[in-house]
Amino acid sequence: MSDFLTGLSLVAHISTILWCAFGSILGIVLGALPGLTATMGIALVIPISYQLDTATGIGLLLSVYCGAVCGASIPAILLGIPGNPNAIATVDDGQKMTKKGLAGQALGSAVIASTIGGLGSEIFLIFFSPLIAQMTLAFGPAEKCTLSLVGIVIIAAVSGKDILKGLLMGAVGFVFAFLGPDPMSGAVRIPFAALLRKTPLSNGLDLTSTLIGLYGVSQVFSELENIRNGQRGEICTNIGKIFPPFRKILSMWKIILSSLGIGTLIGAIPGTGASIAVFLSRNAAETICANSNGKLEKPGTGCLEGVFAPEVANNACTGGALIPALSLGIPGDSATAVLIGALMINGITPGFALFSQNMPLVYSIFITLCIANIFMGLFQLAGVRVYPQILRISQRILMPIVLILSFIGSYAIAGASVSKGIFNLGTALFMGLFGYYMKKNHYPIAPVVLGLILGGMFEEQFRRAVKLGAGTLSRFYTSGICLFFILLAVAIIVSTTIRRRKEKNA
Amino acid sequence: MKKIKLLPAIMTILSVLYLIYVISSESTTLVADTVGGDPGGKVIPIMIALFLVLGFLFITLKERPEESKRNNGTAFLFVTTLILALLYVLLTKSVGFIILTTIVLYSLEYIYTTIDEIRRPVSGIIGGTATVISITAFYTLMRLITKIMLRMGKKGALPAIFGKNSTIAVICLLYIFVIVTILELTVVQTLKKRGLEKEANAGIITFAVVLFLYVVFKQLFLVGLAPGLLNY
Repeated sequence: MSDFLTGLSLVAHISTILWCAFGSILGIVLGALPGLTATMGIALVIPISYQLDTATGIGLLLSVYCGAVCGASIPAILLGIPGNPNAIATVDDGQKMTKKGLAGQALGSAVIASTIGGLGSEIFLIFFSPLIAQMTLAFGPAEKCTLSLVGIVIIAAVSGKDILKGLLMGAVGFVFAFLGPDPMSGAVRIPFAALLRKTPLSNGLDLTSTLIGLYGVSQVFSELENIRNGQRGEICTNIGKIFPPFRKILSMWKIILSSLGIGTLIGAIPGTGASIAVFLSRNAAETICANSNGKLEKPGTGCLEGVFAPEVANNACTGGALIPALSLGIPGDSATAVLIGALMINGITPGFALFSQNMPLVYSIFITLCIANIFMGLFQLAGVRVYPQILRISQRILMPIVLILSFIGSYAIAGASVSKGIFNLGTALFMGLFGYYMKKNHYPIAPVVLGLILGGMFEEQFRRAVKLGAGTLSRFYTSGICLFFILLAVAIIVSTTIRRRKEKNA
Repeated sequence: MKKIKLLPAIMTILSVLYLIYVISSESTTLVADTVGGDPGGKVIPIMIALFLVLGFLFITLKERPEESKRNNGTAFLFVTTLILALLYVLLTKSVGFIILTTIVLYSLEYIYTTIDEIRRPVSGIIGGTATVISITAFYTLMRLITKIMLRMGKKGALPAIFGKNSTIAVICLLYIFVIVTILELTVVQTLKKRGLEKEANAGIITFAVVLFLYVVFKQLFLVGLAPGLLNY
């Protein structure tokens, strides 16, 4: 109880509330604008979160994350273009409702459903993350090494169409992580060491600048191709009534519960993500509606059921995805990969140590997530008639601002050191170009981030495990947990390869 | 001869170079490793480098380039953005945050928003120069206000709350809001009536964004943004 109260005291400041409110609004705006993603939003606010105290900074990041997932429903409903892949399944019914003159109810339902999903999944997060984190007590160096390998394999499997490309990108992330001091001996490992020893590169790449470059700067270069033909469809201005009938919401309790369960579970399984959960929940809703004796309308006909199911599920994924992210340090998607990086930049290392040594901070994360979900609901409802106007902002105006924000963010993280700031600017630009060319050639960039985050741990734990095994790999094949992780990694690679081949042949 | 894809081929070459670098570098072992058993700092990098070489080589041999052409307009935007971004990185220290951000942001806003139109370079340059001058002037005034308030706050001539950075930052944000509103209602509207809409929009957006970011990062978070030419 005292841990909870201490955690509460960490966030019970007006500044925390205000930053969470700012994060929610920013997240909704980013989510609403096609082309700007939750991942990019998190990357761009990392420098701000770094300047705040830890709990407030995390609150800001979580608010942007939740807001962006929810905000994506706005263009999905009004324009038929999802703000990000989480809102793909909302497009069908959302657009049909808009054409029926029920845009307000569709937007209102999406907000209510998202809030239910976000808050509901947090209950699972609060119960399960400490339990899973406790399991990591049994982990030694070999287990930690193989766990990070599983993390890379999972993100490689989920974030691209070709798992080999994902794995190669993870390996590139490892190479970036190896730049700088050796984790065991401290010796500097950089090419042209005589020349670069006195530069900030001798301490390794700056994680924030790398994230900002990969997601912010690269997005600007990617969007240049859309800027020329960036005409959007006509935006519906007749919003009408916002709140759906309360009885109607109550009648959908089965859809809400099933979508909540599906969203949380899919979100918690690393490597799946919201874009799968939204379709599964929609399918489940179709079955429920078919068995409701006509009490519920079938999704696909432009009804609330078709908006509620995916919107509960995609925000339930946010709480679900934080379960492995906080307890094991394994992300479910690119947004949580960046979030883990942001947590580490803010001095938080996910895993059992976090839950055993800093429980007040864990509670503060839970509380700020709750605040983030509530604010997300309140601000999106309050601005239902205003946010559609955001869709009128042209990419041509936004992209230069994103580029400048990316540069200033990467510069600011260096604090008072101008030379480090300039180095960070160069890193952001280099990573931006690298990310742009990789994305253009269908190489996913999320594995690079995770490789950069986990590379150091992977190498250090590998060397510790080999040393404990007196120079052999015995620790890896005598531990059941290690064998399980290795088999899991192999199974993911094999199953993903088979699935992709089937999809290709189909 | 079969065409190969450029990116995986370049990545293969870079991976080979990395492998050579790793093999030729000194092995680093754990300090005070008297018992032995530490495989050293080369093992994992060599394994990763080998995987990269083989993986990218496989993709190079397997994939064929797609027929894709970037149109001239996009190529122009790409090159312009890249040059301006490079200039930003190289000149930040000497030119400083305020002036350089203004030039880069105004240029990008102006070029992006006029991509489908016949540009008027002279009015664009005049608009940019006017934006730099006005931002410098209002920034100087804002710095003066900040310094006076801090000094008066320290001396006790103002209530202590006015000596706090956060309070001054809020006052500066209000100052920017008022100035931007006045400029929007007067100068920008006048320019729009004279057919200079793009220049006016690029200018006012740059004005608001540069000063807002300055206040948030410099005055609220005390980040040492490079002063450059405006070293006062």
